[in-house]
Amino acid sequence: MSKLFLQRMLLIIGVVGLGVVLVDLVISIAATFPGTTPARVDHVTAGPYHLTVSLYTNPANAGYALAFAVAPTQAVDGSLTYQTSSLPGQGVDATPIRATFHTDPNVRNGIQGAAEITVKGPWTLQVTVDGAAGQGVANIPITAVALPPIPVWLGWTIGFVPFYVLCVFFVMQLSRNKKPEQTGTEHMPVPKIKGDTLTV
Amino acid sequence: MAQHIVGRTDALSPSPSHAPSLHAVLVLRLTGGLVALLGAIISFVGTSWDIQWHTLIGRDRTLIPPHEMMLAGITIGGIAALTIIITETIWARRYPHMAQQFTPFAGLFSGPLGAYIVGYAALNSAVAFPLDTYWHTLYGIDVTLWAPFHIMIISGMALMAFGAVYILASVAHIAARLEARKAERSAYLGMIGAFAASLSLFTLLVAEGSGPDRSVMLGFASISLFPVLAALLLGCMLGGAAYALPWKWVATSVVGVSFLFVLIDQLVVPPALTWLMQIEQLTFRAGHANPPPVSLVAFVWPLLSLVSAVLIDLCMQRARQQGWSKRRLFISIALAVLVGSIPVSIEAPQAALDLASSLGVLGTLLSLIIGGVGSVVGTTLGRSVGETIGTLER
Repeated sequence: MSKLFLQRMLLIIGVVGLGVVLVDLVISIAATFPGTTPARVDHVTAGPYHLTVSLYTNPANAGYALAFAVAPTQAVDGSLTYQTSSLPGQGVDATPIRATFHTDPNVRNGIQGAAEITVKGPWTLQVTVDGAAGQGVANIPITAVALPPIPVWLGWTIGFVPFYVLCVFFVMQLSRNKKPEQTGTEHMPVPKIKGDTLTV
Repeated sequence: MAQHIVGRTDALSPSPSHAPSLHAVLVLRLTGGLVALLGAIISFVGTSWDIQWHTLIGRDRTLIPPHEMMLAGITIGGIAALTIIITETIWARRYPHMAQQFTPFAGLFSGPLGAYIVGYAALNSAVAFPLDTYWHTLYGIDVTLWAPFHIMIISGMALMAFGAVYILASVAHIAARLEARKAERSAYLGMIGAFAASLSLFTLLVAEGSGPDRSVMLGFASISLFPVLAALLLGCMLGGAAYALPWKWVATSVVGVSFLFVLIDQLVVPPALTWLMQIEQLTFRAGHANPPPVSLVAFVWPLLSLVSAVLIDLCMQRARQQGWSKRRLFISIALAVLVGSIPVSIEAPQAALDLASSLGVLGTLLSLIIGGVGSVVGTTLGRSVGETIGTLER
């Protein structure tokens, strides 16, 4: 294989890699925005409040944000304040995460937000509401799915890619530097000292 | 300042009289190399912050501020490399007589070798980020650096700094040719910083191996990977720096600068974590309530690398003064490197003894022997890096 061919292969791999990163970035950003139609709508009770919780992906995609919207089912006196979190279920190796949200401009006392689901498995979207009638909590069970798993050995093989490249680089460098006249018994040239700079 | 036009100055269109001078190449590479170095340093601090975050708080969303800081560093490095390559490709196409200054790539691009290394290393880390997120979705929030895509991210960032060494080496040699002493000095200082950044980022991975729980079971004995990994790293980086740079105390300076990065960690990371916890209203993970205000990275940093570096520099100076043979110098440096492969940190000053008692006599001996092999291989690679860098102009 010629050097040019190898370099072109490397270039193609680089362009594909860059493409993957950009596509993933676009998907990650897009996942935080609610779509036009919710994939799942739950009617839940949080203490004295009846809420409609809309999830825009169902099941949720682990590793990406889950866009959601919360709105009171009936008109409520005064204003409501919310706190939302995604809580990992039993057996899920993850930590609770506070969800980000903002006021829904089209729905009074409604919010839109994105909950992070980091690991596949059962999760709960917890919505805590405070209002004139007191505080209430609603738990919405969520299932998060991930892409098909890659084998652990394949993950390690890919993870060491930089070291393969580094090894090839060093081998090329060593073979370039190797000179037949080097015997290992040559003496280091004595440097000339000029200020704080040594020149060999 | 005198304008040095590269190559022939006759009969090429566009007129070579409008061609960028060698000084322009120097300025571009010096700026790009230093920016790539800045990217690597930002990545290092971001990674230290991330380690603190994952250990004490846990992993939550992908775009937490420490991840954003790491990605910012990677992006800065990638953009620096891309800028150098695109600019030099344009120059090479417009002024073919300049082509001898550049390393061609894939028949399409022209630029310094280091810029390709920085670009690919940055891309490697960037690709590893979504892969790491995917890995976490499958296997949870493992708080270990020795996970496939953590290794891919961190080694990519370390190679980014390593590429910056090559860019700055080319600057130093061009500057020497132009007798631009300030630029030459800046390039050498930048090389020390870049060696230190690369050493620091790789040390994040290597330090993880010092715990007894990281021993490898061989059936008849357990061995520690720390000595071999530390020896490979120190031999390659400190050996490379000592062979490449024509200054005294180069290896010590490299380790000194890496300790400076760790000091920055200590000053920045604990307050940054507290600040972010307050903003995001987070709590510490179970078992980590009220941690001391220290950077975890600084706490476990291998300390004997400094002794190793001082010994390497003393060997280099003796070799130059007394005209040692290359073989004698090589063996001395390899032995000096081996000293740095003994684990000692602020967290565990007695780490070496703990490790030895957990490994037993056979395991300890085997670990040291493998460490010795790592030291020889690392020093060989370091000498090769030094020889290449010592003459690199493109």
